[in-house]
Amino acid sequence: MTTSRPPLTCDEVRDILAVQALEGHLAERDERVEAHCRECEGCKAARSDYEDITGLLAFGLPDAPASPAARERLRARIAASRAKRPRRLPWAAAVAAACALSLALGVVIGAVFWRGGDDDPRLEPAPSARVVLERASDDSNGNAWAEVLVNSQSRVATLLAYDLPALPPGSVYQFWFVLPGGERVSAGVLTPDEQGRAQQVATLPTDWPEISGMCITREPAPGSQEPQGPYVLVAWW
Amino acid sequence: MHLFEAQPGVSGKRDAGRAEQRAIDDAAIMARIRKREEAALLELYDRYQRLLMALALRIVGDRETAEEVLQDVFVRAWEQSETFDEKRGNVSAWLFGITRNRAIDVLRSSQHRARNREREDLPEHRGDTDDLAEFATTRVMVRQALENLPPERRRPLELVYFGGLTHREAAEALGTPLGTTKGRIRAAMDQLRHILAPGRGDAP
Repeated sequence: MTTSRPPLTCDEVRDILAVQALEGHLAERDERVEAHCRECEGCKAARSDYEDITGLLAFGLPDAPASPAARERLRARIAASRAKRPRRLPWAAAVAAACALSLALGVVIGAVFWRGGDDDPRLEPAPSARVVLERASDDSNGNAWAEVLVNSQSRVATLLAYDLPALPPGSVYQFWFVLPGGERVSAGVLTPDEQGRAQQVATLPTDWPEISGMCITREPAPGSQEPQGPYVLVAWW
Repeated sequence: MHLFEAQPGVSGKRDAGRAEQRAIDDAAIMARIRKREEAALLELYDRYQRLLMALALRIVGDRETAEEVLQDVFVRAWEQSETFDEKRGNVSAWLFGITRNRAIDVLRSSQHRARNREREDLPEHRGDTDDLAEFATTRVMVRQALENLPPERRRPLELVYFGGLTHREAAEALGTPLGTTKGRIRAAMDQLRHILAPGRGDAP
């Protein structure tokens, strides 16, 4: 019981406070320290200073800018968090199941154009299109789905994929743009996390109106020049 | 009052003024974020991403993971902006706290146990071109303060703050008694307090 332990001296309390400030959320809390600080202005001030110093330490590190793509990903995540996941249309799922390996499987639920985000003129231009990629077949891809947020002005597409099934060793997911002639242009290999989520930022190979589809395929590692593996998620229009 | 406001020297008033202005600007940005203004979040990101990325990178050790941490920090800032309390500290301290906690969670959940990691000392950082002029004075002061710490004080401090260890783990890693480690951390913090907050840290 803490009540049976002797009270701490200021010196002991400050040892603990210095460590607690540095440890952050890993720090053990001690009710005797809290009780002491409620009564001792000096230790209360020391705690405040230690916490301020902790907040300053990162200023001692060398500069390390994040990649430009990271900003775009953040923007896409925020946009995605504002947009509710669209409901899968029953007929779309049926069509997708019936036409498993056909490129006609693509069901564009998205391509929903919006501008400016709400009606706040101070907002930067929002993505100009959102495309939802649906499963190419219902047999082995679980609940996988993806959305692509396209900024037509900057020609940047941000893919956010969810619930991708884990792949056997030697296989990777690859993201593709489809051009009107049917040519596929790789937009990179995906690296899903443990929850099957993956993000990819890619530059459109041509102007946005020229893109006629997007898809994710399963390819032999480390990826392919042209799609060889089965289609996992598709969107065609 | 924040330590930024108590800097000594010829440029002290100017720096304090900058810091104060920055705190006001940050608070205004946070208010806009609470109103769900995406541009405000990106403004906050542009302002702090280099510093936060540096912290995350230092803790987790690779850029890809550090960028994920950075993403999580700003998504949290967006989704939980209501949890920011100006009375308890400034925006930068709040962001640094979230970043460090998140980075440590990632580090400790990975297979790379923190105590087994080899850590470099803080890199020397003199004479670089720092395009964060707004923070330049603070950065120089903090770097100098850290460099002036004796190694036996600096090492446990770095292991705990940047290495994501508890002080017990730092003691094990350094092979020093727990009490000694704790005392050295306290001494390091008091030394930093004396340098970065003169006149504030001497109350008995």
